Order: sequence, then C-alpha cells, then structure tokens
Amino acid sequence: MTVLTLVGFALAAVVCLAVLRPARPEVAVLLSLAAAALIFTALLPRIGEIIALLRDLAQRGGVDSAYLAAVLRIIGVAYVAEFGAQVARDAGEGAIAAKVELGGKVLILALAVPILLGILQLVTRLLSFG
Amino acid sequence: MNADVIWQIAGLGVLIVVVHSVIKAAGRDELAWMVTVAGVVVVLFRVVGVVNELFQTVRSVFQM
Repeated sequence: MTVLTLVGFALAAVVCLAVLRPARPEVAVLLSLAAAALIFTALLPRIGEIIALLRDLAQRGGVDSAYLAAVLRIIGVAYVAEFGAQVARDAGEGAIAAKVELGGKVLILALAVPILLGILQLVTRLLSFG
Repeated sequence: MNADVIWQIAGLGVLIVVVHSVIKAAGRDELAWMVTVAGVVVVLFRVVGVVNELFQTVRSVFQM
C-alpha cells in the first residue's frame, strides 16, 4: 500500500461520510468504523515487517525473547485500544472512549509487570554484588 | 485495501435515507423506523466481518 492509496481511500470515505452524517448518523458511525478497520488492516503487514526487523535485532543483541514478546503485546494492546477509543469518540460517546482508554492502560500495566519484576531482580542482584 | 465495502455501506445508507423518507411521506412512521433498523443491522453485519478480519490480523502480527 502506498501513501496515495491510503489518502485516496480516506478521501473517498470522508466524502461518503459528509453525505451520510447529517441524514443517518448511525450509518455514518458504521461507515467510519469500517473505513478505520480497513486502513488499519492494510497497515498491519508493514507493521509486521518492522516487527520482524525488531525481532532480528533483539536476537542479535541477545535480548530475552519473552521481553520482546511482552513489548509487542503491549504495542498491540495500545493500537487496538486507541482504535476502539477513537471510534467511540467519533460516535459522540466520549465517556465510553475514556473507559476504553482506561482499560487499555490497565491491561498494558498488567502486561508490563513481568518486565518490572525482571528489572527489580536485576537491581537486587547488582546490589547484593556490591 | 479495496474501497468496495465503503461504497456498499454508503450506497446502503443512501438507500435507507430514501426508503425512510418515502415511507414517512406515506404516513407510516413506525414502518419507516423499522426499515431504518433493518438497514442498520444489514450494514452492521457487513462491518462486523471487516472488524473481525482486522482483529485476526492484529492477533497474528502481534502474537497476542
């Protein structure tokens, strides 16, 4: 996917939304959701390439693969939560959007606990050496 | 990324608007409302497929 495809697609969606929004706001919400999902789906293969590069770098650097998996999962949660919150905000439901964002933050914190524990263990080991 | 889904949903939306206003002009308000709900449900089923595809892709890319 090139940037021209992306912008052309987005403009087509925006024009349809501008026609539909005043007449049928509920269909407009579904249309914007579909457009957002399609753009995200088209972007994911590129994100996959970047992740493959990161994985390669981590393997060469000798980073524990469990940490990298946790970081990737956190990035996924962040993207999906942001997507859901934006769709909710677009539909005029700011409160639901805030809750989705809160849920995303909590889930990310929960996923980050093993990493935090790893840092803590490292620090205590360093302290016991000194 | 093909825009077919966008055109489909936009077309269905315009169709709903037209049918709604025609039935409303005929004085059957409750029928017009039901037509709107049915149309929204049809569009919803279309969108659910798209969102499901997105979530499957996210799951495979980020290995969640």
